[in-house]
Amino acid sequence: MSELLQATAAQGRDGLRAGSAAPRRPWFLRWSWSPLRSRGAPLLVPLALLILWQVAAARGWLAEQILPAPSLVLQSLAGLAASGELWEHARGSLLRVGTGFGIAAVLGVSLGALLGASRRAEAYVLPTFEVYAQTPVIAWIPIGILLFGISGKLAVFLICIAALVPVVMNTFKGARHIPPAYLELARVYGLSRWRLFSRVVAPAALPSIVLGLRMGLSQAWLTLVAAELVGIERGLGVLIVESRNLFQLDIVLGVIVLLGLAGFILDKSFVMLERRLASWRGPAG
Amino acid sequence: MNTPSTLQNLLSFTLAAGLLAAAPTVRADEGRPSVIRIGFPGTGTGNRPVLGGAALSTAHLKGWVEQEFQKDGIRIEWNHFKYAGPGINEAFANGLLDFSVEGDLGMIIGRSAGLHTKVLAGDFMRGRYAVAVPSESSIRTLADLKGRRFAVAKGTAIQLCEVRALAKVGLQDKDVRAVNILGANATDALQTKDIDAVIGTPAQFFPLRDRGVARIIYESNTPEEQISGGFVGDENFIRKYPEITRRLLKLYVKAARFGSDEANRNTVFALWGQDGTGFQYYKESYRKDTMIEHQTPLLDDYWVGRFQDGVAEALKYKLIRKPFDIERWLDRNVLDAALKDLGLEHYWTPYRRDGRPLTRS
Repeated sequence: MSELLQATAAQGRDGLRAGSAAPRRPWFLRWSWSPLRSRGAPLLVPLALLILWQVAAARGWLAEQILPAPSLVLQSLAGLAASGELWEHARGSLLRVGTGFGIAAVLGVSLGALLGASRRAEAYVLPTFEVYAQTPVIAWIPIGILLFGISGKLAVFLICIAALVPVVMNTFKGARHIPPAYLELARVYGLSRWRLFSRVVAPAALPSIVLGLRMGLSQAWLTLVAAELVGIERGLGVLIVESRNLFQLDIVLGVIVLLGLAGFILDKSFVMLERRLASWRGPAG
Repeated sequence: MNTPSTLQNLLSFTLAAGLLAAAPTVRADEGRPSVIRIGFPGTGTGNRPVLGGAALSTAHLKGWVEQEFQKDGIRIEWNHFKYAGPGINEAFANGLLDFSVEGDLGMIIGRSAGLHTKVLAGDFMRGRYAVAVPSESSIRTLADLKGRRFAVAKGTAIQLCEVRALAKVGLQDKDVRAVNILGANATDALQTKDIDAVIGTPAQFFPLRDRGVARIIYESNTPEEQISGGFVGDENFIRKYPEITRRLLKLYVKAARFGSDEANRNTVFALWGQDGTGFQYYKESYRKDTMIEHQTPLLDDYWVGRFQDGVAEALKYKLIRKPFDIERWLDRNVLDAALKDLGLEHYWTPYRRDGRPLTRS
C-alpha cells in the first residue's frame, strides 16, 4: 500500500498528471526499498564487521594467532559441533545458568517483595544490598571457594549472586511504586490483605518483576565465563580458557560469538514468553 | 527513519578506526632498541617478579644484563608471566616480547601456531614433576587417579607431564577429570580437598607436605619423562639486532656456566630461592643431581629428541594441530659463537638421545 502511495506522490512531485503517459523508471527505482531497509538494517553492521574482519585477517593487520580468519573460526566451530564436544560444553553451561538463575529468581523476588512491602525492611536491608550490588562478581570468588570449594556449586553461586541484583531491585521497585490511586481504591473497597496483595499489588508489580527476571537472566548469562574460570571441567567458559591456553584463538572467537548469539536468543525467547503470559493475563492486567 | 548518510558515516568510521588500529607503530631505532623485553614462565610466591631455576634467572638476579647494556642506554624489561607458556606466546604474537625462557609444551604450541621465534639455547633441562594428593587421600599410585579430579595447568609444560604420567599406567586425559587450575590455586584446592590430585613441580608441594596437608605420590625420575625448555627469541629482533642478540646470549651462557659449577651450588639455590621457594626447598628439589645436567644450554641430541617426542605427543593428544620442522626452528649459530667467545666449547658434554653423555673416544 505504501508503495502505491509513494509512487503516486512521486508522480505528483514530477508534475505529471495521473494518467499521462510517463516513461517507466527502471525497476530498482520504482520498487520501494523501505521494507528491505528496515528488515535489513540490523544485519548491516554485523555484515560490515565481518567484511572488515575478513580483510584484516587476509591482510595480516594483526598476527594470525591473535586474529584468525573467519573461515578458520567457522571451520573449527563446525569441527567441535560435529564431534559433539561443543554440545557437551554448552550443556554444562546451560545447566549452570539455569540453576543459578532459578535460585536467583526465587530468592530475588522474595527479597524484593519483602523490601517493597516493609519500609522497615527497606530501611535496614536496602543500603547493604545496594553496596553489594556494586561489587564485581569476580571479587566473590575467594569467598565462594571458602563456602563451596572449587566445584560446580561455586559457578552456580557466582551466577546466582550476579542475577540476584536486577531481580531484587526491579521487584522492589515494582512492589513499592504501586500507583496510590490503586491503593486508595483498595482501601475504599475494604480489601483484605491477601486480596490487596493478589488483586492489586502483585498484578501491578508484575511487569517490573518480569523485567527484573529478564535482566537477571541476561546477567546470569554474562557471568558465565567468569563463573567457569575456576575448577569446572566442561563448559563454554572452560572451552574459552582452555583454547586460549592452547593458543587456538579461533575457537575462542567462535565461542564468544556463539555466547553472544545464545544470550540474544535467550533474551528474545524470554520476551516472547513475556508477551504470551501478558496476553493470557488479559488486557485488564 | 535512518538517513543513509548516518549509516554511511557509521561504516566509514568503523573502517577508519580499524585502519588506525592496524597502523604499524613507528620506532626510530638507529640500529639499537631502546628496550629489551625478556620473559619468564611464571611468577614467584605472592606474584613477585622473580623466578629461579633457569640460567636466565641467574643472569637476572645478578643484574648482569642491566650491567652489560647500560653503556648502550638500553633498558631491560623483565616480564614474569603468571600463565607461563600461554602468556608468553600471546606476548610474542602481539610483538610485546623479544626473548624468553619457556617450558617445552609452551614453546611447541607457539611454534606450531606459527609464531616467528627461534630457539637459541636449552634451559630448564630435566625438570622434575610430581603428583601430590591431600594427605588423607586414598590415592596411593598413579593408577588410582582414574576417574578422579586432577588439576593440571593446561597449555604449560606440566600438561605434557600429565600426559606422560598417565601413559605410564595406561591412562589417558579422558580417563581422569582434568581441571584447569594454575599454580597457587591448585595448592589451595588441595588444602580444601576439592581436587583429588595436582601435578606440578616438587618444590611447589614441599611446603604443603611439611605442613602435613599433602602427600607426594609420584616424582619423575627418568630422562624421557622430565621437563625440557629453551631460550627463545623473536625472529625479527634477532634479524634486526644480531649484535645485541649475540651479547645477550654470551651473558646467558656465562650464567649457565655459573649454575653448572658445583662449587656455586648453594649460592645458586640461595639466589633462586628469592622467588619465595627458599634455599632449603631448592636444595631438596635438586636432590643429588649434578647441576650441569640441568643447566646445560646445548641443543644436543637429547634436547632435539625431547622436543621431537614432545611434538609427537602434542599432536597425538590434539594439543597442537600440525607438526613442524625442529631443525628449522633452531639457530645454533648464536650459541656456537657465544661458546667460542667464552672459550666454553668443551665445557658441556653433549648428551645422546637417551640422555646419557656422548662419550669421547
